Formats: sequence, C-alpha cells, structure tokens
Amino acid sequence: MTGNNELTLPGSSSAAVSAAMLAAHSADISTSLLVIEAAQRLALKQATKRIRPTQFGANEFVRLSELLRSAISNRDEAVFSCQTASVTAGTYSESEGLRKYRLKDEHGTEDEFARPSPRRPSDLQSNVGTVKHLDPPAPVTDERPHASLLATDRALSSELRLEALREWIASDPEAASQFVATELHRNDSQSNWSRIVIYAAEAIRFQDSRVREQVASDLLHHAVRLRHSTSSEDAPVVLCAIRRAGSIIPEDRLSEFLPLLTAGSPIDTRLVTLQAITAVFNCSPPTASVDVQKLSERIVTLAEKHWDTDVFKAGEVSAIAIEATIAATVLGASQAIDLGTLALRTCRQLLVGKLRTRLQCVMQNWHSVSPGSRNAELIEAMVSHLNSAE
Amino acid sequence: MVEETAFFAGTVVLKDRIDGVQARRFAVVGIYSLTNRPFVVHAALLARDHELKGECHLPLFHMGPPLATGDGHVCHLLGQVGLTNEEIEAIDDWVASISTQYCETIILPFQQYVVCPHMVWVNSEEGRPLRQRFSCVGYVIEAYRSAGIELIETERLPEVDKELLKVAYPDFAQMERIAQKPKGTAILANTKGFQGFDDLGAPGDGPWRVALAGYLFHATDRYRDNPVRPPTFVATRIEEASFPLG
Repeated sequence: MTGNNELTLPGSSSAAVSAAMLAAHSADISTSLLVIEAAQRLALKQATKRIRPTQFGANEFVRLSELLRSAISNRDEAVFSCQTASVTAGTYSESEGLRKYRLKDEHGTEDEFARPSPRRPSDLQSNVGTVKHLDPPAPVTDERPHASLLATDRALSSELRLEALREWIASDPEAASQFVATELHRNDSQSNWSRIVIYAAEAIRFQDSRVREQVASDLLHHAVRLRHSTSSEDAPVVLCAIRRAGSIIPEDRLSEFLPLLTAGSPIDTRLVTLQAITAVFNCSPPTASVDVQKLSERIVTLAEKHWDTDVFKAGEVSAIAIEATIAATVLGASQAIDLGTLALRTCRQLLVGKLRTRLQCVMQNWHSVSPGSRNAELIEAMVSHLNSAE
Repeated sequence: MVEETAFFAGTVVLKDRIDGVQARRFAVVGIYSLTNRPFVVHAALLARDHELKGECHLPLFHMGPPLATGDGHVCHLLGQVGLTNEEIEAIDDWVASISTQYCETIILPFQQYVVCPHMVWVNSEEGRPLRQRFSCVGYVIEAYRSAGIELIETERLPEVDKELLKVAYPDFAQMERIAQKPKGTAILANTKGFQGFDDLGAPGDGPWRVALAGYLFHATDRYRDNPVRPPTFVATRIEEASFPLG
C-alpha cells in the first residue's frame, strides 16, 4: 500500500495495465488519466517491453487506445481482456479535496489512490481537457487490426469494442450503422455492450427507412426491458433509446410506446415517451388510417392525473402534464379542450403561455403539409381556449 | 413591477463577499478563467437555494459538456434577477423537460455541444426533433427564456475573433493544434466525434458572433436596485466578456 497519490498493484504488470484500462472506462476521464499515468509509472515499464516501448516516452501519458491496440497486436490476452482486475466504487472526501478510489486485482488485493478534486469546468473542458492526451506519440494505424474487426469481435471487452466502434463510425458511418442496427436486434448482448450500441444508435444515421423502422422497434424493446433495471447507469440509456426511437419510428407503430407510459418501474419513462410521441407529429398530423385510440386514451389519463390539484407541482409533474396535453391535442383526443381548462386552473400564466406557444409551433409546421386537417383545427381551438386566460 | 423577494438582485463577485449571500435556486453562477480573471469562462444555473460565503463549491445544472447536474464546482460569480415564484416554477419545468436529454457522452461527446449559435436543435433522418445542443451560455439563456426573461440579446452580439475564442474556450487552441496535424482531425473524430469547428458553429477563421458567459453577468447586474425589469441586455463590446470590466 502507498499513500493517496500513487497507485501500486501487487499483482502482475498485466494486472496493473488491466486495472488502468478498466478504471479508464469506469471512472471519469481525469481519474482515468491519473490511473493510466500511475500504471505507466509504476508497472507499465514491464508490460511495455512487449508493447514496443519506443511508443511511450518516459514522461508521456499512455494513450489508452494505443495501449489496447498494442496489447492486441502482441496477443496479450491478460491485458486486453480486462479480466484481471476491477475497480470498486469511489468515495469522496470533501475536507481533503480528494477523491479516493480503490483498485482490486485478481487476487483480491486492494489498493487505494486519489486524485485532486474535479477540475473547474469550462466550455468544452470535459472534452478538450483530454485532448493533449490524445496526441499520440507515434502513429500505429497501419499496424493494428481494422476498427471494424475489433468492434465486431465478441471475444474482446466492451470497452475495447467501444474504442473501435467510435473509430469505425468516424471512418465508415454507413457500415458502422448497419453493424449497430444488427447489434441492437440481438438479445444476447452483455449489458455494457448493449448500452454502448443504444448510445451509438443516437450518434449515427440510418439511411434505409426499413432499417430505421427495425432500429426504432429494437430500441423500444430494449427500453421496455431496461426500465426495470435498478442500475443508475441504465437510466440515461433508457431515455436515449426512447428519444431516438421517437425520432425515426413510423407512426403506425406508435402503440409500441404504450408500455412505456406506465409508472411503477425504477426508471420513469413517461416524460421522455410523451416527448417522443410529440416529436413523431412535429412535422405532420397523424394519418387518418392510423389507430391511435388506445395511446390517446392513456395520454389523456396521464394528463388529467398530472393536472390534478392534489398532484400538480412544478418540475417533472408539470412537465408531464404539459407534454401529455400537447400529445393528446396533436393526436386529436376529444378531451383536449378539457385538458386546456385544467391547465388554465393552475393560474400559471407562463405555463399556459408555453403550452400555447408549443401548439402554435406545431400548427405552423403542419400548415404547409396539411392545412385544415381535423387535428389542426383542434389545435387552433385549443390555442383560442388558452388565449381566453388573458 | 418586480415581486418582493428576500433575495437580492444584481451580480456579486463572490470573493468580495465573505459575509454570506442568499442565492436563490436558478440564480446564474459563473466561473472565471484560470489565467485571465476577470474573464468569465463558464456559466450555469444554481441547482438549489444556497447561502454563499465567498467562492465556494455549488450544485449546478449546466452544459459542461455534457448536459448534466454538476456538483462540487468552485464558483466565482453570482447573478440574480429577483426571480418570482412563477418564474422559478417555469425554469423548474424547463430543467425537468431537458433532463430527458441527459446522456452519457461515451460515443460522441461533441454531439451535445455547440459554440454558435447558443442552441440548436438536432433533427433526425425523418426531420423530427431529436435533441438540443447548447453552449454553457445557451443553456442559461434558454432556461431564463422559458420564464419569459431575455437575459441577453442573442441576435446582436459583438464579433469574437479566434484569439478571444481561445480565451473563452481554453482548450480551443490545443484542439486546433491537433486538428492541424496530419492525422489530428481523424484522431479527434475517432475518439470524440469531433467533426471540425464548422460543426461547432465556428467555421473558417472568424470572427463569429458568440454569446460569451461574461455578458450574462452584466445582464443580471442591471437588475440591482431596479424596481422595474430592465430591457434585454445588448452586449456591445467583447470587453463585456469580463466581469467586472477591467
């Protein structure tokens, strides 16, 4: 054991490298850099003998991806599989201004290190603060496997596949998008990798409308499953999946949103689902042949409950009430005007104004594609009703 | 007329006030440049009511990036406009609605951020709204806009040249240096989804009309001892990126 400012790992140097890599993906970036630096200083000298030591100058940070690629090219299973060490949760000691983490190797031996309190944020800081470490000491591009090979290799850790996927998205977005679509459709993915492909679905574009339809359906499938997760890591994943699905789902598959409009799961999906439904009809009204009855009924119920004076309050409840009222109006629910009356009863002028402005925006968007539709008339009536508060 | 409130309105440089300042939720807080005080490099919303004694760690809602709730950031400036209860509720609604866009940035962090304009919507392949990109200033501007308060005039902003942008975004120079290397742009794209300065709203060599964080604090300072809400602040010179003016 050492003091708080250094990392030592009693295990092999490979274990130290693995710990550093795992920590790099488990903690925030400044922690990662500290770990990598410490691992390099204290253990990597041995490991890098097999990883072309000339790549790393004595005082340079090791770039994680370079390290991983080198490990692969040297077939160092212990390094790149990340199976030899793990990082447990960190604790924060405000009085010392230090953040402590513990590392544990494969023998159960733990060690502790700390990093200074978080850097002051500035715009781009969290991105660009790492840039100096992205400056590679030497190009190795031509000597490592292609990013697509790494991303598709299920034997590799999800962290390594993520690095490769990023690169693949940048170099060949169309092929990468096909791969992401395929991965989303699989049900046997590990949870970490599953999260990565969901996030990736938002980062890329799917050119084929049939692929988009499948991706939307798969995203909602993942969201329905993951909303019951108790892991805090899954909350933003679920929100991302629903938001992305709403941006591409065909309107005749809207009923797939229904299970996400119920409460009772650890991850509340109602607000983001309502936003997703509204997004579907941002540009044009629902097609008459599409049955939105059940969805519309559920949304009206949600709106009524959230406008209830015993329940209503600012923040998420209010946001759900507003979004449900907009969605109900857009879908042409017959109770829409009644929901407007409930909104007026809050006596919140700003809220009513926001509701009115949002509906006016939808009406403007629809005007060019479907002037005078029944739903457009309902929106117009709703706006007039909300104007009556003034 | 402005509603009576126990919270002062105006801008306070926190290191000058160790006696304690009552700050209300959604006050604007600022962070100075590490090397160029009083140039302001970051702005955010205070996440809850707080008594501030000098420069201190504060809970924030902000665009870091990423879009997030933040904790433990040492803040140097406080700007308050005397928000009414209804205005606070409106911002509360807005923060809740934006919270569904909180997202890890493990794939392409730059997708959440934009320098100019202060906020843009990203649309999907179908032309539907997917999410918003903000600058840190844009996040604050839009939050207050949801409460009917236009802090700064975003259609009339002073031109900012590249040198000043590097001060406002301390890592800008470093990114530029890397991007100019043979494989630099590819490295940034591979690792961060960086698609060039054009994508961030800063094409070419500038100048650009960027909403800088310091403007917000000149805007809030005009609410001090003012029984009537002042009109929207119009930044007229880039020196107003510092608070107070040198």
